[in-house]
Amino acid sequence: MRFTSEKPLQNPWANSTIEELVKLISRGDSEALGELYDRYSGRVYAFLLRSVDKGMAEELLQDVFLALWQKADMYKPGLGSFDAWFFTLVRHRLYDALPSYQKRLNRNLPSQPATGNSPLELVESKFNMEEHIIHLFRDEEIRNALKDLPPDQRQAILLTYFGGLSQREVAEKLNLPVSTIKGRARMGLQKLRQLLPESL
Amino acid sequence: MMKCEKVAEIEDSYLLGELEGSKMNQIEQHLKECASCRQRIHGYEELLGQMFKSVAPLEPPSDIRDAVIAHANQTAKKEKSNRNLWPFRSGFAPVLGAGIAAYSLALLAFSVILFLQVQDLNKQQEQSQKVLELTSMPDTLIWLMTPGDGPFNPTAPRARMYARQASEIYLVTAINITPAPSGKAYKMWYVIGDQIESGGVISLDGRGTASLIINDPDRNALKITSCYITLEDNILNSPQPTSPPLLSWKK
Repeated sequence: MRFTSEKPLQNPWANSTIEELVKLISRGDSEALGELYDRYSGRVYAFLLRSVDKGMAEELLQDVFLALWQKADMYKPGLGSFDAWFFTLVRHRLYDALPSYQKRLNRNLPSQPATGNSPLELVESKFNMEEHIIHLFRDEEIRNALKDLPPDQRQAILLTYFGGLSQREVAEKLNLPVSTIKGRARMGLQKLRQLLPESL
Repeated sequence: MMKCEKVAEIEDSYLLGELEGSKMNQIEQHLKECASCRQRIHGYEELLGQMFKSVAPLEPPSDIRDAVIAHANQTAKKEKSNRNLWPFRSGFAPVLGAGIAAYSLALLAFSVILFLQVQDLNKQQEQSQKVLELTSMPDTLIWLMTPGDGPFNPTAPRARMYARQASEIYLVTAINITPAPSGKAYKMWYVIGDQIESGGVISLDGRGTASLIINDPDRNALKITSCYITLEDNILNSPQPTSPPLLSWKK
């Protein structure tokens, strides 16, 4: 018989499912919140860094997990996956914060030389970032599905849902009506659903 | 109530969280009552969630975690569930006294069984920890094994291999797999340099999905150049594949 006393103590949450952790969080268990933070913070942080600078990403990361602390009881496992629910929360927090963030950038950097940090420059650089955003995904199947999309649909999805640009910003930059960008994003999502009907 | 056409018009803004409060409330109210719109929008949310799950993590500064937990503890909006494990107090002591001998004997027998089970549980827990680490680390390599180079077909069989340099395990998952004919089994292989290593037999569940944990693999995952799944005779324990790949990935 072998005891594993030479190893550090095992994480007591290692076998807990996400649903179990969320339930504990909704009852006010901050240790379960810590475990969920360990599992998800890296992805949230990486996602946020595609849209805002490091300081703002850190601020929003904190904000997202405190929102989860407050709202965990609103997640109903029977209605969908936690990933879908949580990512909606993350997106909404980000898009709530973007207008004031961009105003702050405008205010702080009006006359400075090009740094790659002004909203306009960020928009410009994001338009050249599609390929980088695709590599945000570790899953080859998702990258392939994105590459299979028509370029204008892929651009609309990546820049808005994963690049932190509003549809209006994309439309202005491309000199197209917002409705065109909306249509492209919608068609792209429909096609992606066909290409990625379920996770493995 | 907001109409379906209006919901379709603004659903992308809803998904992005760009809508102002009143419109957000209206659309949420509509989704409670309209199954068709709900199904469509939840489908998009699931898709975006699936993509979010695949985002390669970046480690945030460690002090953020401390700040989140400290803030959560401070707000402590809800009481921790400090359940009283012994709700019966002194008034029940005589009852407990009478049953305690029988209880002790039962407890002894139960402890022996439990002790044996704990050993299994420890092993499972260790395995789960390794799987979690393998699937969540940013440097994990994920390869897609498909039937060929044709256009992507979502209903075709496919598999993924998760491997990481120096990892104690590799993981293979698969979907849309038809049951192996009688006397045959699906086997997984990976190639490092000139060496073909056997990953083991892939067992299916009734829905055509499967997973395989490869314990103690060759740890040099960065040198893996291909991986594939073949259909082999069950009785032959061949160290090499004897049939062509059904699903494969090549560097």
